[in-house]
Amino acid sequence: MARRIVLDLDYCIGCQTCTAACQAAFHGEARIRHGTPATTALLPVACRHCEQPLCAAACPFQVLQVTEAGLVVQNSFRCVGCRSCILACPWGVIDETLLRHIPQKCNLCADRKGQVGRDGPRCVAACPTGALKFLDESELPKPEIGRRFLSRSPYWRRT
Amino acid sequence: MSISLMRTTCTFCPFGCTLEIVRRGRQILGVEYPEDSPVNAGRVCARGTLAARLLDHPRRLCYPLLNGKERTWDEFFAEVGPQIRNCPSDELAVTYDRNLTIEEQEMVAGFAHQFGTDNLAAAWPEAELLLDVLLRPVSGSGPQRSATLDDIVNADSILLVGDVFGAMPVVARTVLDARYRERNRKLYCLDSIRTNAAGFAHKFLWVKPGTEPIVLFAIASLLDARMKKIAPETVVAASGVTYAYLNELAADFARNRKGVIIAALNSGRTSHPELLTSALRLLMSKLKGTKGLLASRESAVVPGPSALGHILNRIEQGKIRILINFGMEFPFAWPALLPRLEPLQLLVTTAVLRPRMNLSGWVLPVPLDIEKSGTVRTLWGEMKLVPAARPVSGSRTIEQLISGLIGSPPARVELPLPPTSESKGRELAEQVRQLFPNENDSADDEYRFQLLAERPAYGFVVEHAPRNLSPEAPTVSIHPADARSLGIRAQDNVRLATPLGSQRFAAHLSETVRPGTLLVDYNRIVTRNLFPFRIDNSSGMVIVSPTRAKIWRDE
Repeated sequence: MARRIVLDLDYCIGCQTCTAACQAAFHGEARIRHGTPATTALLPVACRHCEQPLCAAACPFQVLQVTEAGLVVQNSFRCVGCRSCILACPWGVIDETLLRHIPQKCNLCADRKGQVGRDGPRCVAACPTGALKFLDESELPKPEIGRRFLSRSPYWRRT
Repeated sequence: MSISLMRTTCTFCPFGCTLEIVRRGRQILGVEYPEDSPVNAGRVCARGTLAARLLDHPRRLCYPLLNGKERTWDEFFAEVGPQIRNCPSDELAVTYDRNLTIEEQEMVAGFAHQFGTDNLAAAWPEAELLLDVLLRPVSGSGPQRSATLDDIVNADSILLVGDVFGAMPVVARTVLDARYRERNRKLYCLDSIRTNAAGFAHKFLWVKPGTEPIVLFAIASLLDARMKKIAPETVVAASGVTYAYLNELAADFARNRKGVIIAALNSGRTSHPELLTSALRLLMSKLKGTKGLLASRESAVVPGPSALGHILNRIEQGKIRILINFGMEFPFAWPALLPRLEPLQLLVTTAVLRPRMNLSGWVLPVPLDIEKSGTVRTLWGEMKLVPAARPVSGSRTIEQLISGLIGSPPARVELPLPPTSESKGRELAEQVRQLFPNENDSADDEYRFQLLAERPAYGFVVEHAPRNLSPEAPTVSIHPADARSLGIRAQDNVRLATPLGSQRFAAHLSETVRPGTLLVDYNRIVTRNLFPFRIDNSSGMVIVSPTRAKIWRDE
């Protein structure tokens, strides 16, 4: 399994630097943005690169495909802006705002390696607290990630 | 053409993060995050990510403007130079805000010194300027020590006052590492808004707006048996804080030998920021053992020998005819102050971006800090700036600007410090008592909400970035119970009005505010018109206060 963006709730302070870093790299349209799953939580959400992506199934022009590494990538050349992927995504992480006619979806900054020779998404690199991590499956069950969340103070995280 | 990475220091706050500007030739591609950077390990906050986008911003100012119309530098020097050179010294005021290196600040001070004017002040009317004053020595006492990152890492107890994580997100990593290191390390948070930091604290002192000085004074009095105490029931009634929390906090700081206080103070958050800083200073003086105070701020602007409020008063009285400001935001970032500048015969200011309003006077293009070499002041000492790009075409450096005005290279003079005075304990106690609610106080029936301001780093991006594809409307946070009573749902368009004006917002239902309180982002210039300001006559500080407001659904 390829590496994925993992959020460590013990360190997320809701500062939206991840959104700002993504906007800075991709012409002002962030592919990771903050969702409010409850009125007391403000958490960054981005493409999950599902193993069986519904967005790819819905796309009539095979724009979205799963690579060998397990990433869901866009071949924007074929996109006509029909928004089927936006409607199909169960996580709502493809924003309905189109850049030209193309919906913006996280590709884990695949361009960064070729541009500056560094791996990993820019949101992970920029995150001030290191709450966003870029981990593969073997690193996911690390005990310290998110466990302290259970024992933190009873005050809700701000929205 | 190959890609290059130009390493430089971010200057959007005094943390001094290192970042890299990605370039292909002269084309700016973005920002990169070097993991080996000494202070921040590559991490930056939202403001730092904006660095590249400001370099080639669509509104980047490349020509001098006079009353909103483009002019040339030759016209500026021909017209303004003689006016300034012939102006009596006491009728000239020189101010500065952000985007200046230490060398440039010294040139500005030298410019004022050459003209013999005492009207030299920081044009940064933000409450956080008081935090710089807080760290300066008072005559007869030793200097306060600014806490280091090591102090935070090793602290037994940390008290966050104000929205520390919002003002300086990069410090959060160190604070949270300290918080999780050992179970007996305690993190306390004191604020009138339930901020991000509150969710991590062992105890959150959620004070009523404006009562922070009362609580800080009460904690100080618990640490010093000689101090006259405020009755616990009075503290609880005034501030809404559980007294047991104060006892616990005081006991922790008394027992633990390594305590750190990190304070943030944004405008529109508390009515008496000067009392808050005096109470903080008093609290610091009562702490034993190793202690440090860190001032968490957006800008490294330091107070000058005079104060902006005194200068504004003299302008109003007709005693100052010419104001020249060096920086990037004053005065257009504070629209409420513009009427106070109307009596001026000449206003000259510098900017990086074209102001959204037409200013009466000259606006001159200058380079961004990351286009300059020099030294900047950070929390950890001075850091070198390396230019990540050439200054934008059409801009002139401060040195070139001053040379053009005076006809010779500018002399550099160390910026004189302002006099620092301190309220004595008894005097402070009397001032704090005035904050207690009075039975004669009655809530305004019309403006029944209290309007506070926050200043998170991300708001700076929303305000200054080139237009994003999905521009964010300004939001107002309202408690869900208040929203229900007014028939307001999430994302509804609402109108917020204060005695100074009204503005449209999108409603954001949130339990971070108490019922009866509203919260807006002070980064957004449109919100600043809603807040009144006052000039503190003794210090000359311009203080932006919370205000009363009303809100209704706007179809």
